[in-house]
Amino acid sequence: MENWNPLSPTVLSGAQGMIYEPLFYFNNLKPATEEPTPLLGTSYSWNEDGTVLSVETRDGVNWSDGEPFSAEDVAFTFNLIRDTPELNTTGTTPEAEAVDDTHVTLTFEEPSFMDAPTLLGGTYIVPEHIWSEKPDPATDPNREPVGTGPMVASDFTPQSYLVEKNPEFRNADDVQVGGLRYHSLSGNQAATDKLLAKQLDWAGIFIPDVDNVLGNRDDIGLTSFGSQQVVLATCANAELGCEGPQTDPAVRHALSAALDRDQVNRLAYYDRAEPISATFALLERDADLIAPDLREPMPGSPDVEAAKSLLEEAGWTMGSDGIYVRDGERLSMNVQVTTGYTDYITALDAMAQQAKAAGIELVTRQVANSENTSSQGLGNFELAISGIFQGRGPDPYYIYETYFSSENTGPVGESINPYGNVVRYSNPEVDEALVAAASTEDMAVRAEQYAIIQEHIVEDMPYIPVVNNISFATYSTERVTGFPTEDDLWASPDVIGAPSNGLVIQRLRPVN
Amino acid sequence: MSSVLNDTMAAAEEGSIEEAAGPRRRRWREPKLLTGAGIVIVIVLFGLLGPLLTQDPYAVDNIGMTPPSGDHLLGTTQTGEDVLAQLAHGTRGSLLIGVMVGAMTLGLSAFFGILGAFVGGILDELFSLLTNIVLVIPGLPLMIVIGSYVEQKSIFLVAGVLALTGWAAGARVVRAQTLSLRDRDYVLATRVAGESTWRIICVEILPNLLPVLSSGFVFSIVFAILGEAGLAFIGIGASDSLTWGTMLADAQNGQALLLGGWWWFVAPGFLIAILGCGLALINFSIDEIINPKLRPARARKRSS
Amino acid sequence: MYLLRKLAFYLAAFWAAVTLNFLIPRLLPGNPVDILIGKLAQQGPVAPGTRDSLEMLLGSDTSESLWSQYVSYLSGLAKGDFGTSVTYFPAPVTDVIGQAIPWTLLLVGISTLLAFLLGVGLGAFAGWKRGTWVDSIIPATALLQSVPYFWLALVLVYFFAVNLGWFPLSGGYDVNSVRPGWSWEFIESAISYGTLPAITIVVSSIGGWLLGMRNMMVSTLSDDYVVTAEAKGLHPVRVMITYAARNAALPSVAGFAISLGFVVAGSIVTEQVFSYPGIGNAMLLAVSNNDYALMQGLFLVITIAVLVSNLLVDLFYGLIDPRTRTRN
Repeated sequence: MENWNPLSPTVLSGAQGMIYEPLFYFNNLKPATEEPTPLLGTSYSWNEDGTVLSVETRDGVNWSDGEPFSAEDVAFTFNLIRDTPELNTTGTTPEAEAVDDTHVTLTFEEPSFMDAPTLLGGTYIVPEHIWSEKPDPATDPNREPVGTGPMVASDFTPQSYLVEKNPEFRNADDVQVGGLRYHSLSGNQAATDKLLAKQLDWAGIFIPDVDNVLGNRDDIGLTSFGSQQVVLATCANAELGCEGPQTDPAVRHALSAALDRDQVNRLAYYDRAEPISATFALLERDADLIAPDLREPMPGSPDVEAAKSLLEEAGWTMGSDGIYVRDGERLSMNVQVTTGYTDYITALDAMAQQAKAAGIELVTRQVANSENTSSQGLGNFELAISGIFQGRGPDPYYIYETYFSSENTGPVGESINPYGNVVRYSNPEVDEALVAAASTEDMAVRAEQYAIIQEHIVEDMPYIPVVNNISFATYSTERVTGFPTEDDLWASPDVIGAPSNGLVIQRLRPVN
Repeated sequence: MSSVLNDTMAAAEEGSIEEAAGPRRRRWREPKLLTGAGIVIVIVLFGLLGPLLTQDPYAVDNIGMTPPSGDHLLGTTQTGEDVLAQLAHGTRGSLLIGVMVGAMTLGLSAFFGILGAFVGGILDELFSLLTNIVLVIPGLPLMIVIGSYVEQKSIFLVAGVLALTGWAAGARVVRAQTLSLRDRDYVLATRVAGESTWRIICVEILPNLLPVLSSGFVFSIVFAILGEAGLAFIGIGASDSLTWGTMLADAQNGQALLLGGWWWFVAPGFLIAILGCGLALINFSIDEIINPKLRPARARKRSS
Repeated sequence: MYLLRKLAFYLAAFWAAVTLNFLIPRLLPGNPVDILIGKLAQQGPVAPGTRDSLEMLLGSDTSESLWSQYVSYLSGLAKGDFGTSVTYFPAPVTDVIGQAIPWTLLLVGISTLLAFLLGVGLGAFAGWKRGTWVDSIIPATALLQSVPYFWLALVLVYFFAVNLGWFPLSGGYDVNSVRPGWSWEFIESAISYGTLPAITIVVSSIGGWLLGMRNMMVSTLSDDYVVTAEAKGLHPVRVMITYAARNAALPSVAGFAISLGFVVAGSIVTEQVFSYPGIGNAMLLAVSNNDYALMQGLFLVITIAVLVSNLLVDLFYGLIDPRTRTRN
């Protein structure tokens, strides 16, 4: 349904990035040292203790209705979000003040260096002259969107909608694509069929064995990018109420040693996945931010003997059925997975077989997505296969903060963010290091703090690393050129990625 | 799925044929019954014995999606699992669901249909009301909603849901038939003679309902197997066992057709169709027993 | 009296459906906020405060007692207010259903009608020709009837749309060149997109009508009045159509009226395979997003459609067959 409200969580794809822009684009495919791409902002700087952020905004930008854009709009947007609890999803939105037409300051209550990517890169600026009139900005579907981006909304039907070139756009000459039509398709099959029939020019579809499917189709291009680290999340913390063999770190390490990651990669990811680091920092991008002794990725082949000796040292003995036992408890754990997530289910089939060779039984439970999220939120699970998602900025901090901080967890039975610290990991030294890393802009200091975190999480291993699944975008090479390639990921090629989509569209060039 | 619903309704309408079962003459030499029974027996044997003879259906292997060969008679899935082994276990699962649903449906429809009609009065009113309500509440959406409520969808749960939403049509047919039997002279005679209600139901009524009940049983097996396949396809089938439905859903999710793995996709669908056909042929023969007018022997030669 | 009893029954059925409809989604695990957080988490980290803010936004306050939720649900229904869809937030459920219904009505309605007409026609013919080679269609239709719908649909899509390119792949119309409206271009496009889904519905549902009609026809043909008509030397075609088929079709007509009610339920699986923008699609989306309000609205609309068509059949029977008034 029509919802062009860029502040709404159910906004139409394309409203963010194509129509509305944030101040900067933080490319999390590049190392943290890379400068963000300026959009509506041109530069920013922090005060020493990280409580005041000064931003210089772009001059000479017009809204698509012809009104001039100024720092007032930026201040208005931040204050609107701050003052509307339904929109204030971070809870840390600063107070904003426009100093003049091109300068705005954001004032925080505590050091907030780490909020820069979310605030500067994820806050879509709306025009004050229109939004100050809206009685209910949180639920307004914003049927006539007025933005600063390269596109404007043109035609909407529930089955598809069109955005067209914005003649008022500051770099209108760079935009050589006349418009973009978004299709709403149900199911991967229907979307894949359309892509192969050349009815889609840009798509982000999960296609199993994509290399084989695209095979000799040189009219369809493919760019691998980004990562979703596949893990076995374990309800690890007995003190917070977790139960089951996986609360024993030896079991987690043994299971990890028993995994044949190469086979998982081959069967579930068609050899497209990459090795994973036990630190969950990205091996290439974050090379400088990983403790030197932890830079080796997880091994591809299993070490069954190591797994067995880990278990035996921890007091497990081999049972008559080939599964270890301790104090009458069999080493058998339930792994839950969402029904229909084929790559996860396939990976689990393979891992169950691999674990069995090391005397560990994994029992797969396929559950509905809603049940899976709900039981992880509540901590009512033993193992679950899931993903560690990248943060807003190119810094492992966001992963550590989301998945390992005790701020993001709670006792079993209390519903927490099901995409947060569901393993109930709680370690004061990690929490301390997180605070220390967040109160500096100095990457060297951060790296030291990350090393502390990494030592702990590698030792405790509440998430068992499996592989680093690489997503990909597919696009027509017959009609346009200019999509980001693996050699130079100057922006994410993801069709639903924002605000990268607005940058990509400016570089596309029609063929002929 | 719409065809399933239509059939349910058609079956309910046929209940208005108030023709007694009459003298039953079994026609074993009938080709329809023989063919149908033959198909069903072969598939049941495959489901019973197949899993004992085939490989481990969950054993993954690095050879994914290989075409049929000596090692894997029906090829492998995307993870190198043996399709024949999966098919054997899937046959067992689907048949189990079919028989369970058939039995539960039989029990429920017999209970509500016979008891209500025989006792009459307020009980009949209540039972009819319940039956009719279950009949008009749309089944598939209800199954989706109930199915997504339960966390771990065991094969028993799926069977339970299918039976719960599928018994009403049968109950209506049984009720209509019982009503007509109740007022027969010989039943009235036993009532007057002071026989107990249970005895009359068991001795006088049940035997005469056998054709209707068995037709309902066979129909619900087909309904259940198709229903389970549909549920599995939209992602809410039995997740703890292999069935034809889960195999089809896996093949579909693995884009078997697109990747050329037809053996993975075609085999389970083919078996469902063949089994359904076999059961339908049996049902057809039962219909001819219920309704003597349908018997081919009665068809007269026509000039046109 | 007959009418009152029927109305009372439908009211009871309606109440049962409404209450069931209220209860089931509330027993579902998880809540829409978690699903939404999940989507957001794939784009960036989710702060601890996000949940509170989203709960406020969606108004999914679960602290209210079940009874007071029930009361406000009923009063909302009475006002035609089905609530707000979470999937399509902030669109009201009535809008979502309103835009999906025409697609389902047309596609499934037309194909149900086609399947009915073809099935009854062929069934009458098969019944007339009983005992001849035509009987061999029985196993053939039994086979067709037992093919899983989605399996047939996927195979047909693979051959006729993907490989041969005779039909469009999926969707309701050509979104690139036409806009929904009363233009010939749009109707033409909708027809070409609807053909393959319609064919699969017809093929897989024709068997039931055909076999039912054939059986009724065979029974009717041995009735005395038909035998008499034949003995009088009337033209066989006239006997077949005027005497036998007309009477034999009655139960099928009633069955058709009832199945029209189920049209609204759509072929949920059809729409999934063809990415067709109807009710079934909306239903699956609602389930996967824990969209209670949308689920309830859809379920209610479907139930009402079924109840109304059943009521119409009952009234119709009451009119033409006086026996029903006394018997039941």
